[in-house]
Amino acid sequence: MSVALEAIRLTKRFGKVAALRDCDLALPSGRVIGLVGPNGAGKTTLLHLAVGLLDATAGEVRVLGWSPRAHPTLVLSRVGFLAQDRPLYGGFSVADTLELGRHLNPRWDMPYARARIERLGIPFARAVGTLSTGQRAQVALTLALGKRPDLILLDEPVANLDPLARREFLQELMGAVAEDGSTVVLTSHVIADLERVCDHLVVLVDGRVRLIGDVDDLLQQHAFVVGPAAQGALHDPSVIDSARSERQVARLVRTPQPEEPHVDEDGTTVRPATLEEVVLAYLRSARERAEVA
Amino acid sequence: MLWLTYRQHRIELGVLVLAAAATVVALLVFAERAAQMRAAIGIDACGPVPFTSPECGFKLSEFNRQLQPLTNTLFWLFLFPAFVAAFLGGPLFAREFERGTHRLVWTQGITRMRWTLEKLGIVLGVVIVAAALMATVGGRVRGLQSMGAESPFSSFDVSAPVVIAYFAFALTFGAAMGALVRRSVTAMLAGLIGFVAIRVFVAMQLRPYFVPPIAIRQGGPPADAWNLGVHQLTAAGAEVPQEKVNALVTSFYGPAAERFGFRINDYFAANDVYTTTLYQPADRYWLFQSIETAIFLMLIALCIALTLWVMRRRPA
Repeated sequence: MSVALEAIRLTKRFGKVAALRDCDLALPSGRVIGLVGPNGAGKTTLLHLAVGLLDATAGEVRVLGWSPRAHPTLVLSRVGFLAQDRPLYGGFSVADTLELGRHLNPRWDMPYARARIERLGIPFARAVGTLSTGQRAQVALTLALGKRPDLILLDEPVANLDPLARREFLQELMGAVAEDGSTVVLTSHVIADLERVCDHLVVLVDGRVRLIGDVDDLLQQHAFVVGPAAQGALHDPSVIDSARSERQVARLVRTPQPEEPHVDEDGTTVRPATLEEVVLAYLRSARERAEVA
Repeated sequence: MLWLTYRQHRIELGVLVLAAAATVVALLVFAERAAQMRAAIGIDACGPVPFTSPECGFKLSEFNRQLQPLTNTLFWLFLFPAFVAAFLGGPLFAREFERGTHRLVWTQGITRMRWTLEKLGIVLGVVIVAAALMATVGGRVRGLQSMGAESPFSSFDVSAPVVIAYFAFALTFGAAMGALVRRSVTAMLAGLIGFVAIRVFVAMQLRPYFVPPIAIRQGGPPADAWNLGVHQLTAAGAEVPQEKVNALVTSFYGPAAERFGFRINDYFAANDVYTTTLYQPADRYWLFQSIETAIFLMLIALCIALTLWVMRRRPA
């Protein structure tokens, strides 16, 4: 497995607050990787470190094998980055925005970028600031894709888009990736979005990796178990998270091998977990552990 | 970067070039008119100021009245760099930070150091060309206002090379403030106030003493000198505090006055106070231009270094 983005004991502190602490991470290339975590988990910090917008406090980050601060132009010309809020120059026309990409990127593919915009039906002469939010997001994505990157980093790319624009954006992204076989890392709060496009998942909590793996593996390795409240074994280490109500206990458990859905004699129901259930269980359990500590 | 900088700042740069051109035209037109007025009013026949005949006094006030547009334009030349500091320098980097577009450009294929240097350099180039244009004309027309022998120092502030240095410093100072505070409005205010303060401080506090002035206790300075005015100094050349001068004046009247034959200067001298005229001779003009230009070049280098340092170090 070749590695697109690697973090080695990566630490980033802002004053006294640690956004990333001793974070070890290796993201395989050629995959679409979802990065989830609560606010302040370090998702944006990780991406900013990867494109050299930030310097690590300790440890290192390697992007396509290079350090982004030591070899900025090597890394930046091969990495497409879309920052949170998708910044663009509002006064620039769409054509000007592509022109910006051409002037600042040695590997810019203008016919490709223009073809994308044409296909999306976005007028070249319109000022970016007057486009709809969805169209603006597409222009920002085109700017990131126009350098034909090997790695695409997207920070909350579909935040504040309506469901239709959200779907279109992700479709465009997946289409472009399928064509080029590049690696994509995107962060999102909406697990449903990630479920639709990602085949690899990283759950980041408190500046550390809480869970990482292929989506298929993760789904196979976890099961959702609902049983009578009297049932014990709640402290079983395989139980990631449990919710107890008066009558019953719902648990998300890690299983050594895939479990077929079934119902036990005592009424315990075992069924496959959804990705959302898995992610939420890990996020919740991390918070509880923090509260105990 | 040339394309991007032009595309981003073409309006500001256009306004700057237009304003510079308008200033040059206004200076030339008003100067031409002033020269004609001088001849028409016949003021040069009156000789050097102060005039003795009341008729010449009227001529002078009429001339000054007609000269007002030229005087205003020259005053505009003092203000112009402050506007460059505020409206061009202040937002140059601050607006990028404010709108998050620095994350857009810093993650394209060029380094942020190159982006910073080229963006600043290109705008600075335009500012310098505009300033050089105005400086060439500005220095030539100032003498038209003066009566009699003209001191080169009277056009010091509107001549090359200092004017060009003022403009360049205004831009780099505003830009550095923007990089530092990251807020356009704050940067514009800081740029405006800071630039004016530094510019006035150098002109008023430092320039008269770049080289120790020549001190004379009798007579006046040469007509083409820069007269720094009358000062009360000790024999060693130290400035006497005004309170002491006032106390001496007060104590002079009475017995002391008679003892010194009513010659207050003798009484002052007995107390180690000498009424002295200070001036800088005209032949120091280019030395002073060089010194002041060097001071601002140093400040410009400092501002650029500060900008680069902030860009390199600041988390994005």
